[in-house]
Amino acid sequence: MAEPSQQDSVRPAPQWHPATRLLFRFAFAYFLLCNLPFPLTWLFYIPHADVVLTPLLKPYWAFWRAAVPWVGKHLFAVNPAVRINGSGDSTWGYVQVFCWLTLALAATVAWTLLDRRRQSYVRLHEWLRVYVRFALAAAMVTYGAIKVIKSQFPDPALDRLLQPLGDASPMGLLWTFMGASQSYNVFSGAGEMLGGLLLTLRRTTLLGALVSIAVLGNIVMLNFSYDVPVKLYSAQLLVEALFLTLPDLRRLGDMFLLNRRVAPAADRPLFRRAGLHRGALALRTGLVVLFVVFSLADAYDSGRDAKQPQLYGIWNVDELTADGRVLPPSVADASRWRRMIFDFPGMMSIQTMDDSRHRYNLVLDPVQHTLALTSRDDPQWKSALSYRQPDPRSLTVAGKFGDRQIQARLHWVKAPKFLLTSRGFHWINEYPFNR
Amino acid sequence: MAEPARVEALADGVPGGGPGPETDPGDARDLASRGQRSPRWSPLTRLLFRFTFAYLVLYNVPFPLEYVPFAEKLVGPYGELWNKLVPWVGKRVFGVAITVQPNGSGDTTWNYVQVFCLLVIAAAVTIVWTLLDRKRASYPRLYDGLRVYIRFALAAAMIGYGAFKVIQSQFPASPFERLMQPFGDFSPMGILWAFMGASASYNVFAGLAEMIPGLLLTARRTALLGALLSIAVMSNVVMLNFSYDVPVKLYSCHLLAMGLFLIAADLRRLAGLFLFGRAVEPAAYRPLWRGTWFRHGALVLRTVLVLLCVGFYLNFSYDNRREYGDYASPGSPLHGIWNVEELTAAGKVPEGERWRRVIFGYPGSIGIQMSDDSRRRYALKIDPKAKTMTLTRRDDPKAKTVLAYTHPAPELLTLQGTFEKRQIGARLRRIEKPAFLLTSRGFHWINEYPFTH
Repeated sequence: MAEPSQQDSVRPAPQWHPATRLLFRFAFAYFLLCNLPFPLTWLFYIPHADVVLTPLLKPYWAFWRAAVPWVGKHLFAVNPAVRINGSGDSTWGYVQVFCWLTLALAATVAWTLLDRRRQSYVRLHEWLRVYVRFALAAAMVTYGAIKVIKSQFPDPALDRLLQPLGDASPMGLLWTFMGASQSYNVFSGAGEMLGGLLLTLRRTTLLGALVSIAVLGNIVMLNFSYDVPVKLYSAQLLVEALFLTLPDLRRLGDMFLLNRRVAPAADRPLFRRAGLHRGALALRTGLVVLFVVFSLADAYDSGRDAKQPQLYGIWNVDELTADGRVLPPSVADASRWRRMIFDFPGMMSIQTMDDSRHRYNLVLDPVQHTLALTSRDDPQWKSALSYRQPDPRSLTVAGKFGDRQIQARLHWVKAPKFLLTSRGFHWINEYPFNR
Repeated sequence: MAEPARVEALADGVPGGGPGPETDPGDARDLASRGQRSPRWSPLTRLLFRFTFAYLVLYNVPFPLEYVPFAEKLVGPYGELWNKLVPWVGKRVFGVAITVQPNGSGDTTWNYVQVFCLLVIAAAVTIVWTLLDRKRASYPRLYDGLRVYIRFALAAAMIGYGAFKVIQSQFPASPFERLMQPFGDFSPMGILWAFMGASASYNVFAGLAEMIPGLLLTARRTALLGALLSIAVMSNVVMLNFSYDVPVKLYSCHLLAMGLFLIAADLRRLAGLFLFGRAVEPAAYRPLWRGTWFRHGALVLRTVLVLLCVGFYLNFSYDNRREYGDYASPGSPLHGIWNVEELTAAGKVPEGERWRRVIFGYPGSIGIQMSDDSRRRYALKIDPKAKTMTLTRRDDPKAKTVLAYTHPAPELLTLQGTFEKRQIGARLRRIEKPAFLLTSRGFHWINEYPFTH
């Protein structure tokens, strides 16, 4: 990068404004930090790649596992204990962003002091664009694949279909809304994959970045509006897409706002040697195709319907005894069970009389006839129940639940034909069917 | 466009193509004002243009008369004409009796038959026009005029829909009935409405995403950008309508098609910019008006009309929201969710048909939730003097139920009367300050875990 290229010798390196140089150094450091260890993490799908990748990445992961808690403890007096789960907006996530910003700032200062004579970073900028393009493309393709295959937003589960709207969290509502339509998932996923794939071609990078901005703008707004904890990550992806449009802002302005002649796109080949260029092209094409196939296959595997669990279905609670006292099915009693719902292996829901839904992790032992429940929110909470199934449609459950000794008698009911999942498509509606 | 030799039909047959590289805009303007020779279009392009012209004009008429004060004298009879023609065609051509006129649904049988009529009329116009106007080489000025018309028709729709969302009158927050309704009991359209209604900020975003393209369409220079953004937004709306059973499929498809029509002339320039990284010449344009005064006048008129349009829709949405949207405000002293503590009934009530809750949400309506979670909704009239409430079935205005009520304390209510041929008595207790996770969760910068409840 540092060596003068042929292009540089023909055309003198342009003079960048000092502020531009400063901003570039910061952007370079930050984008690198927040995307590392890309692309290594994305190579795991190559057979046996883990043999090389895992030892390579170990020190990197160890560094962050040590750094984030240390910074959290000493600078913010918080303990970012929770690291990786479905949430990207954990305390851990914010502290890590703080670390990236600080490190990028430090790198900018050091770099500025050491490299004062440099007029511009044309070639480095080009390489940074390649890196950001592919990091963003990988994210867009992955997110697109899990929508096209509909594994991100599965069909609403039984316990969800019985839950009243008001009892859902905003994020739960978004998930149910998305889960209700196959075609809308395919459309959303195709929009993301299209943006991602256009980014992998140099010529269509601008279009890919603009499509990505449109798609990600919507996603960022959904995440902020519906309490989806992917705010930091989606905002980062949006900023990356915006960054990729920067060199073409003048061309876009000439085209769409001023109706002036649009200059041709600058052509800055990465490699001067034709062989190198062709090799890179072939490598890119191979990796992109492999990656798309892998993403779709992976989404397909995780989206496949799990086996129906034991006790599958909806069980209405006919009688509930707590500490020897029968609780009447009063609609106002939030502690009286109304239904037990078994839909997926390893999970169980109890709907109480006020209709709110309570979810538990479940270990069902069909030999001992026990249900071991743990709370999804409170790791301390546990319950061990025994069950009997005198006939396929009857169930009794007994044991300590919370601080009460519970005995319940239930009967199996056929799941109703839910309007949400059975309405279907209609070309003609004489009236809006807004129920 | 201005240079005859360079103008050619694009693959999809829509007239277009950029000017040659040697043409600069000043040049184009001069040529235009001197009334240069028309470019030559292929016969197929001319045919397609005539059809497109006829269809798009027919579809959008009487726009913009519905916005013009005192013009309803013209709009009314025009609508009546369709109300006669459409049922006639439905009966004669398709053998269907059309009884329902367009209502909240734009995908009624009526609408489909109307689109059929429009297609037939446009085809007839095309044939006659082609026969009468065989010598014409092209229609550059008519094409420009059509583009202006479609630009403003699309802009008005985008601004209108945008305003409904920005003010949140299209998707109001869910009232009590909705909040108590199980997800499985929603229709797909219902879940889309509930989803949109749950976030004020997302409504503002979605509304601006429609209003901004609408406004960009009103200025000639930014019309291409406005059309592209309209296409992006309308594709999403069309997909939502098809996926969630929203009966605005026909109309939203037409708006999308209008957006596509508007970019047709610039496809070559767009490909140069986005696919080939080439230099792109500016779009040449022929001013619609020759005289400077005309041009200034048109500009002033347009600006005033656009501002009026924006103001009108925002104001309309605001009124609409105040009248229908604000369900959260207690309209009557009975507003709220009432648990049924005791229900007495003559005879045995079948499983699933006992009352669980009674909900007074929407003004003038009552909802009864049964023990199997099904809902019954009735129009409600309360007579506070006689202490009676009259429930009317929505699908059968003649089926009335009169219940006597007492309201001994703010949180207590009793109902008595004959409900569905059964003598019943119910004692209800109001839920004090019902709290819903959906409406109370709020915004959180930090989530240690996803909160997908």
